[in-house]
Amino acid sequence: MRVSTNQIYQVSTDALNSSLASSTAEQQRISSGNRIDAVSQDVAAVTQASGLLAVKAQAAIFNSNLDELDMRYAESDQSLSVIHGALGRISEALAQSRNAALSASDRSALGVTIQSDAAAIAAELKRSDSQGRPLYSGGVADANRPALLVRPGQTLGAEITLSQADQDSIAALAGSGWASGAGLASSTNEQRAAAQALVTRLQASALDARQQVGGRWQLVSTYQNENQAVSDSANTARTSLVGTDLVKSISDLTLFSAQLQAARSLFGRISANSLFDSLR
Amino acid sequence: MNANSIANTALSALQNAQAGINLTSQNVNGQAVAGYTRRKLDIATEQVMGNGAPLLGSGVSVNGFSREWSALLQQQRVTQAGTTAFNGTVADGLASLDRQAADATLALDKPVNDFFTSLATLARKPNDAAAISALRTQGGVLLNAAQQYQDGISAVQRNARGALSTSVEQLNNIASELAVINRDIVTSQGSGGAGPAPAELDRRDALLLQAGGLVGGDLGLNADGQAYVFVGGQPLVNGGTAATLKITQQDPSGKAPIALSMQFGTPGQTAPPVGVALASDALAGTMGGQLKLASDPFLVLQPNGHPDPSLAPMTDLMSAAAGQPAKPGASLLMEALSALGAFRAMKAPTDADRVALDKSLQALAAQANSTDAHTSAGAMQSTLLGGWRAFVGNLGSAVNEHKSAQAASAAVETRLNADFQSQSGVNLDEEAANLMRYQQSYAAASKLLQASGTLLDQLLAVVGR
Repeated sequence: MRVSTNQIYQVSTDALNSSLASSTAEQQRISSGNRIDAVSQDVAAVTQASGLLAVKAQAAIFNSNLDELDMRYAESDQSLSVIHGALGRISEALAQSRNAALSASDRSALGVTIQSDAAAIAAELKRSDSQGRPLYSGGVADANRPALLVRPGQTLGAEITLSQADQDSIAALAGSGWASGAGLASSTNEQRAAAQALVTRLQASALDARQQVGGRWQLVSTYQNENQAVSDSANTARTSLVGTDLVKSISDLTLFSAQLQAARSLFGRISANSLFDSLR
Repeated sequence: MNANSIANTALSALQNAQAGINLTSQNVNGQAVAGYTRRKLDIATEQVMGNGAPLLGSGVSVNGFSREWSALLQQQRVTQAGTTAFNGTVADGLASLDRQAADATLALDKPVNDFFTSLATLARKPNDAAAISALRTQGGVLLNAAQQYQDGISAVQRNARGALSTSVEQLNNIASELAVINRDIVTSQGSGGAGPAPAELDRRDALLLQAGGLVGGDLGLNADGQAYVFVGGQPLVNGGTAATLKITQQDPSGKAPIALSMQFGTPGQTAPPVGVALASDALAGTMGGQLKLASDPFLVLQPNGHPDPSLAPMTDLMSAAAGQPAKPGASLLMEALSALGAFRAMKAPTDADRVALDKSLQALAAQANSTDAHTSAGAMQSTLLGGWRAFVGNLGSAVNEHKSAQAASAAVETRLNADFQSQSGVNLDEEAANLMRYQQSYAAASKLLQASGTLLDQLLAVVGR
């Protein structure tokens, strides 16, 4: 086959252009950190990376919801702890008040303590959270404190599971006749026993609500860790898909540079090599 | 053999060598000219006897130069040029979108994800004014990002329309020039003419190759060497007549459909030309690609040009960005985004408009914590990102498809060009060797001529003694 001079030039300039383009592309990959600068270079990687970004974003949303629940549960736990403690002190005072050796003034003093704790409980039940929303909502999620998505298809409610009836009973303690100093002093032993039974029941309800909050709080912590792991995995996978593999890129760049040098050398030789030189 | 025939032989050899030197010079000069085909000497034995046998001692004569050229290869190159150019044009036309979609700062992933993060914040705090405002802002960012893709697609269309106008003009010029060359060919062949000059044939071939790259289709050479070009079954160049290609529908906004027609006029007559509309897929080559992109670049992103339902969320999002209302039966998400798009398009929105928009966004947020697999925020996000990924996937696949087709076609074209060059291309080393050969031949003929002169002198001297 005859090879025309144009063909020889074409081959050498093609080699020059090709190695120059490859070398430039590799330099760009190294400098930008991105392996792909046009979708057509790796369609699957770009679309998969998009999916992984969405996973990360979803995990971030779940984490924000979990953070919100974390804060709400902390406030709920603290509040229930206050109520449970106060109920415990009332229960103890009622137990003491049943001691037959106590005088009326002793019982009156205990009544003052009980009244003070009952008032503290009543105030606690009206407490708002750090964002000004009522903390107690009758044991159900409300529009202000909706249940939040914490993983696909699963929500967690932030409500305190203390029924409205129990809340009303606890709130009524402060207004109970026996809960005042004079009332306790004049109460019968049966009345004091009945009051103690009520307080003990309410204390159990408060403890139960606190345990439920604690259980969900624990779940929040577990989900947060899981989310972090998902987010980290998605990030790693995405980087490996669209990020530059520096070792490979540097190795390729060295190769392309050598090819470029060879192409230049070839072009130089072809340009200089002609029989016409012999004729001059 | 007499002394005279020796002198004649030497003289013809000298003339032959001289012609060879001239030919080499022409080839060497032509080597740098695009479309030049190598010339060869047409040599004939001079004089024959009555019975057809060569007359010894009469030498050879140079009848002229002809081209080293293959009509088959030329035809294949012309056809292949159209295929390569078509795919290259589509791939190049979409290159800007291809890069835009791969740029993480321009991709829709972040705006979509940020929008749903804001939506989740509003879902946590349903009546929080700051959360509503943040969602409104983030929705605006998302619509802006989608608008950039609509702008990108419009730019592809606009560029293709501009380029198509230039190509039409270029093709019409080629057609006119080819018609002139065709007329010259007929004239030069008439009444014992020597035929067209090789340079003119080179020009014809170069023009035909350009036309092949521009418009593809049915074009080539008739048996008498005249070029013909048919576009969509209509003759653009036929003999010495050239029709005119015209873009018949184009508006500056780039929204109206585009169409081409062939205008036929009668030379020398002032009657308005008759136009024949060309089918939109009538063109191949560069202009075929330009017409495809100029008509509707979004169609190129759809497999086989059929509407792809997976792209619907992306098209809906771009419609919302343009301020168009949501389609009947649209999802709550699209309704909210369309409401936001319409709100942004208002010149002077009122408080009532804003309240209506906020209600729409709040309704969306109320649905965000749903555990229903079809209506949750995650599902809405997946739908929107699914549309985006379908767009990216189809775009990348379309570019890849055309790039691959271009590479395959270019490989064939390279091979054909190599074969063509192998036959018609000039090799300077070969020409240098030929030059030396002709120089030596010239020197040898000179010697022979000198010897015949010496012989004649000596014979005359013998006779004179």
